[in-house]
This record gives sequence, structure tokens and C-alpha cells, in this order.
Amino acid sequence: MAKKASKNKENNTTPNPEIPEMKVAVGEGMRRLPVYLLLDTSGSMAGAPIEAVRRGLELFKQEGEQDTEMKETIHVGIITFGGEADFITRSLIPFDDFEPPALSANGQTPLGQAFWLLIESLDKDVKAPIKGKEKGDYKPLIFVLTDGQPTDEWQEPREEILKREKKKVINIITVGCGPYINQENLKDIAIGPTFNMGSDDASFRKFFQWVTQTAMTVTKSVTQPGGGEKPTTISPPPEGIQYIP
Amino acid sequence: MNSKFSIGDPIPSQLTDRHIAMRASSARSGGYCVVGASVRGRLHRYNEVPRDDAFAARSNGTWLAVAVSDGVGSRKLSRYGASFAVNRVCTRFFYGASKVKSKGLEEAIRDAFRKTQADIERFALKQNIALENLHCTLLGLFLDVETGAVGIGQIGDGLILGLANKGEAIPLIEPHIPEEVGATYVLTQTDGEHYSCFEALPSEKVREFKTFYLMTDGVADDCQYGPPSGILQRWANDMDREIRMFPRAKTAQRLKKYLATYQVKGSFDDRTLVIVYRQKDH
Repeated sequence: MAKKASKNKENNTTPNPEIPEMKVAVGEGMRRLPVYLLLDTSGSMAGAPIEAVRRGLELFKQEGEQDTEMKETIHVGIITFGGEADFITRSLIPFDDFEPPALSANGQTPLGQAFWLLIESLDKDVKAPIKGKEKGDYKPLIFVLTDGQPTDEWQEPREEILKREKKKVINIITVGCGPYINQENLKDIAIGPTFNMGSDDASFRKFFQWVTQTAMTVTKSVTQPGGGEKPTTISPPPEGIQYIP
Repeated sequence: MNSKFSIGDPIPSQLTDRHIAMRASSARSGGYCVVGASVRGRLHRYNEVPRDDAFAARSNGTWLAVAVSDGVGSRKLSRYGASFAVNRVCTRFFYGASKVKSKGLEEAIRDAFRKTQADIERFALKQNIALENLHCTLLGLFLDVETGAVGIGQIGDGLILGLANKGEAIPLIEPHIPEEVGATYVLTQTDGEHYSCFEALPSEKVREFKTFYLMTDGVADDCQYGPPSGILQRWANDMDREIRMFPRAKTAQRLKKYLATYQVKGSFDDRTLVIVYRQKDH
């Protein structure tokens, strides 16, 4: 009986506060999940669409703040492409530091430039694991949202990104929005799964909710024991965002 | 004759068996002590789902076998794979231990891993579930307490570490790791043997070590990566000092408390650590 009581005490579910603590140093290295959003801010997005994108980013921030794992793990990079491509966040920043930026829509659609900025950041900001020294980041999750045709040279940077995709070191999702999307052209540009959606307010809202949901799912997956066999499983898109086979 | 024992998570007989949220145990075999603890991680606590890690330590008098395993988080029943694997690899090793002299220690461990994988397949079949539901890593250490020879085996992430008498922390095996960060190989995959690593350390080499650590990635990720630099060595020496401060039963409780309470940003996994240490008078 005494033995049984002792065994129960040994395996209870909360540590006994009277047990003296161990003083053992731990590492502070952190494994981050980089989430990049490449957003089309060309002239055709002016008016309601760009306003919807801005509100979508606010929603991304609000919903992400409710999720502890997402908040701690995710680092955000925002690249816009309208007139010129701009790495708005300058580098990957902690989710806590991310503030939805003011956006304006103008100019053409320099997707190629945006791809080059992405490549530069992937190479500079995303940490590879170094045994015993650097934990390394999880596979970046990249969303590209565009409403039209690129107006610069995008094939070469796309090839560069494709090399990384083939090595399974990135996960990229392309979404076309609005009436000017040519699905065949979008497929040519895209790397990884490709989707199409409307350009109304509800569609953008759904898109950003999907981004949040996917980031949350990936965070839960990557931070679970063993990391899962496929840590970057993408959440199924909501109704209104159609997969382009 | 040294005492026989079996501690840690029990082997499951069916998929309704309870897998408690925290466990701590200790035992002694010859001149070696074993303390182990496993606790549910933050994410599992928050989501009110079970711990997926498991550990076991067994002694047949001559051999001391310890194992830890991490059930893959995306599989809801993987804790049964983990607890099955850690127990079965110990017993499978004991069954084959008589052949260590003829086949060698490394081959005996390889054989124990291989048979454990086959046993899990049979368990899955018996429970009428697909094998992938039991996906788990496996790390094992097998010590002849009479000669001091040690063999180790590992598939998947986690760490087997030795602390040398002079204070140097040395990873004892270099497991295969997938290129994709966060992914892991598992014992239960069809080509699992291809990604398994085995190593035998002769007794003269083992004498250079005072302590061995086996841990799942929930602990390994928090003790290997700085800042500060040199954290692994500091961690291993701190831990070695702490485990020798109190009798081993109390040490197991302290270890459990430590695993359940230390804070590292972004650390959500279950945490499992088993320590085998040579007592000073041996």
C-alpha cells in the first residue's frame, strides 16, 4: 500500500513545489517560422481592393495575437510590388513587432523585383541549422497575391526560387485575384499550389483568414514533437478560393 | 548478480491504455544509476491532449537498457508507438544479448531495432490501425554494467550525449536528419533501417565518461543551441552536478520538476530525458 502511494506521488500531474529546483542553464536559441506576404499594390489594385488588403493585414495581426504559439514562432516579411517593389518590413520581424502598414496602389506590377527581394531575404534572414550552434528556422511559408500580369522580367528570379522549392526549403502559395487574372499565365508564374479568388472585400478577408489559419496550423505542426512528417501542411482554402489544377 | 528492474512508461496492450501526463522514475544497476522523467509540453497541455513522448529503462542483471521515443505529433495515437518502442527495444535487446559476443554489440542493437519495428507492425495490425498512426523516433543505450561496454542506436531526432570525466560534452552518434527543418525520420517508416545509426563503444572508451544523457528533441533543442555559446557543455555539467546532489528517487522528482518548469521561448514540445551516471565509488 505504501509502495502504491509512493508510486502515485512519483507520477502525479503537477510538480511538487517543495521539491528543490535544479539550477541548469538552457539555450535561448529559437526556431522561427518565417511567413512572407508578397502583395500586389499595382495601379489596378487602387480603391476598394487595396483597402481590403490593408484590412486583411489588420485581421492577420488581430487573429494571430490570440494564438500564443503563432505569436512566439512566426516572423513576418511583407513585400509589396506596385511601381517599385518594396520590402516594407525591411527584414523578417517578430510577429509582436509587426504593425499592418499603410498601403497605396499605383504603377505597374514588378513581380520579378519582388521575387529578387524575397530571394535576398531568404538567403540573408532565414537561418539554416548548424549542428550544436544554430537551431535553424522552419521552412518559410510564402504567399503571393496578385491581380494581374507581371510587367518586368520574372522568369530568372522564379527559377532561383524554384531551386529552393525543389530542395523543399520553402513552401510557396500563389493566389490570383480579380477579373484580370489569366489562369494559364498565373500557372506559369506560380511556384507550388495556385489558387484564384475574387477581388471583393469578402474574398480578401477570406484570403487573410486563410493565411492566418495556415500559419497557425503550421506552427502547431512544427512545434509538435518530432515536427510531424510534413510540417508545412497547408490548410485547405475557404470557399471562394479555388484551386487551379 | 545485479538487480533486475523495469521502470518508465509501461508497454501498452491496447489503444485505450492510459499514458499519464508526467512520469519520473529511478533505479540502480551495478555501479550505475538511472533517472528518467518525461513531461507533457506546453502545446499539449494547452490543447489538453496527451503526452506523446515515452521512456523506459530495464535491467536483466548484466545489461542495462534505456530508451526514449517521441511519438510524431501529427498522429493522435503515436504515444502508443513511442511507449511500445521503448519497452520492446529493451526486451528485444535482452533476448539477443547472448549473441553479443559472436555478432558484436552494434549488430545486436541493430537487430533489436529491426525486431522492434516488426513488433510495432504486428501491434498495429492487432489493433486494426495503420502503422503510420504509431510513427515514433527511437533512441537507445545498452550498457554492460559488468564490463562497461556501451552500444547506442538512434533513428530520428533527439540526442545521445556523453559527459566526459574532464567535463567535455560529446554527442555520441550523428543521426540522419532530413533537410527540412522540423521533419524527422521515424522507426516506423518502411525504410526506417536505412536512416538508423548504431555505434558500439568499447569499455576503455566508456571509462572516459561519467554520465550519459538520452533525450527527445523537446529537450535536445533547448540544450544545444545558444546563445550563450558553449551551452551544451554548460548544460551537461550543470545537470551532472544536480543529479548527484540528492538520492536518486529525489533526483527523479527534481528532474521532472525541471522539465515541467524551465522556460525557453518557442519551446512547446514534450520533454523527456533519461540519465545514466556512474557512481563515484565505481
